[in-house]
Amino acid sequence: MRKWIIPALMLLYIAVFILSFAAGRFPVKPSELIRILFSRILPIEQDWTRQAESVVFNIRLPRILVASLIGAGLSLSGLVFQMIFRNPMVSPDVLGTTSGAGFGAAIALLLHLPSASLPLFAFMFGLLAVMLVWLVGSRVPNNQILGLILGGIMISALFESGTSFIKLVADPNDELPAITYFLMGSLAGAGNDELRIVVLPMIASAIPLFLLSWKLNLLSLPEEEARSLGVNTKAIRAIAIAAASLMTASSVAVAGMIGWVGLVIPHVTRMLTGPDARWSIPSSMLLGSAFLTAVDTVARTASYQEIPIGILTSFIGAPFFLYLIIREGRRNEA
Amino acid sequence: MRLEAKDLSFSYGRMKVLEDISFSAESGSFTALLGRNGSGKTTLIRLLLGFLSPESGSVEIDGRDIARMSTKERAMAIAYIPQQTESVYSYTVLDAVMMGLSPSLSVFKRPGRKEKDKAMEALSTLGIESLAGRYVNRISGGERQLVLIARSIAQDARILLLDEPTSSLDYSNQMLVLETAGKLRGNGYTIILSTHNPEHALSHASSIIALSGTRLAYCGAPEGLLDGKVLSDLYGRPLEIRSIEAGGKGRLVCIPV
Repeated sequence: MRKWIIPALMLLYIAVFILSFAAGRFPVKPSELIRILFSRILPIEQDWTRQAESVVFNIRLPRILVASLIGAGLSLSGLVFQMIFRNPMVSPDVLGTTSGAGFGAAIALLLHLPSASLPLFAFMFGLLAVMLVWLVGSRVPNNQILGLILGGIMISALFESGTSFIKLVADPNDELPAITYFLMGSLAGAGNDELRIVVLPMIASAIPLFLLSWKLNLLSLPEEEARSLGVNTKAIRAIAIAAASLMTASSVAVAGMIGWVGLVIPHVTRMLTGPDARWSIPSSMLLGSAFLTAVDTVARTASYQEIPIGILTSFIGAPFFLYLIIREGRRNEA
Repeated sequence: MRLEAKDLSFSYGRMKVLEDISFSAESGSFTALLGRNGSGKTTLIRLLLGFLSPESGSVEIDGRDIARMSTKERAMAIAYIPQQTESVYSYTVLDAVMMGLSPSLSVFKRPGRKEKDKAMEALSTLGIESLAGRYVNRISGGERQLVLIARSIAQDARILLLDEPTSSLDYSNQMLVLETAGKLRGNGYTIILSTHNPEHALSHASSIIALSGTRLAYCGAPEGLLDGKVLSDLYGRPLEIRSIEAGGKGRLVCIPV
């Protein structure tokens, strides 16, 4: 059964992709979309308006691709964190990456730095947060995993207070709304520039995780068992944390804070594929892409004004997560 | 393979845990490790696996210091069978046993058909190939312990270190695990097993190591414990060791008096 899940999720993603083009103020019909997309590589006679082509290539395609990449990246980083910390309740937020990156973005907005520096600040502070968590975590004797998680909670809290302080001193007329809106999480501004920012870090992080997928399974065993099986746990964990943090930070850099995806999608994925990373890694990426693209489509079409996507993912993710936990509990009792 | 501990000492901070521990275990031997809670059994096992570095002394495999071996080289020589633990994520039995092949696969390599066959072979050595498709969290504790042993067979390491493998099992599963370890000893494996039950040591082991305080209280054949003194001192209560005839074989039993 397991081997059908990846093709099924691919079909799901393609369906969401096509539907997303069809939704919105300037709908593009599936047949037209396919001809427009293929016209770039195949000699197809143009029977569509230039406006339609412009909507496809300049507005909708980049936004859908950004949503897909971020959805895949957040889900994959959540899945990887849950494996290497042997805890299904952790998510990219646990290492403080999200709040660190959010803090970096808030500084860039407060200082009115040129727009290109915002993602850079988000990256830098996201990675800084992870390094601090690492430093704190490694001081906790005997239990590195617990140390990292506690360190994550602490460093997150620090960066969140930092962000609150920035909001306090920000100009309430323009800076404060910009910071607040950015941190809510939105893909409203996602275009070709944003696509260029996320595409490289996402691919560069996903490749080592793909290659290491089987060894990552061993990292979900108790530490000493993994080591007794010849796994260099420190090195693989370090690579995995770096890759997952880079994905989270680059997602915050272009879209602000989008919560719950990295927690819920890995859970659903494991229900479908089991824990084996050889299956769960590609599946979580496909499912995350389809989910975030679908939610973003709702975000931009549901009402006259765009709804920040971070609000929607929380509205969907939090109750759904509760449902998952209760279901899981029932199954274990049975 | 021969495992040898030479004058091992270890302390946590200022607290001495082990002092001058020396013993050796040969191929085809079954060494039982006895000691009360907190006597340093687990520390000794962690030293033997190379998870901890001794303060002084060394652990050698066929004359090679394990401190000079890589994690991978050690994994090719010693397999570790932990006390039963519930894993967070439930893999299938076959996937769990295939993990034993990790030391022989390079870091980016995934197991293929050959590895699957080897894992199945390990399962059939123990006669549990029918479990292959089941989930590890859905089988009994005894079966899970056998799966861990199958994993170490797949690992191809010739020294098996079992850390209290029977501690949370019912009686028949305890016997099953001990008999399995005994069978592997017959196949030339070096078995080292820690246990809280002196009966297990007396009836299955070819040699017994008893830790008391921070030192070795005994190291030798089970018959050397016949006067009951060592074990009585070890557990702090009078015990008698009797040699009896059962199932056509001579057996040692331990009786509290």
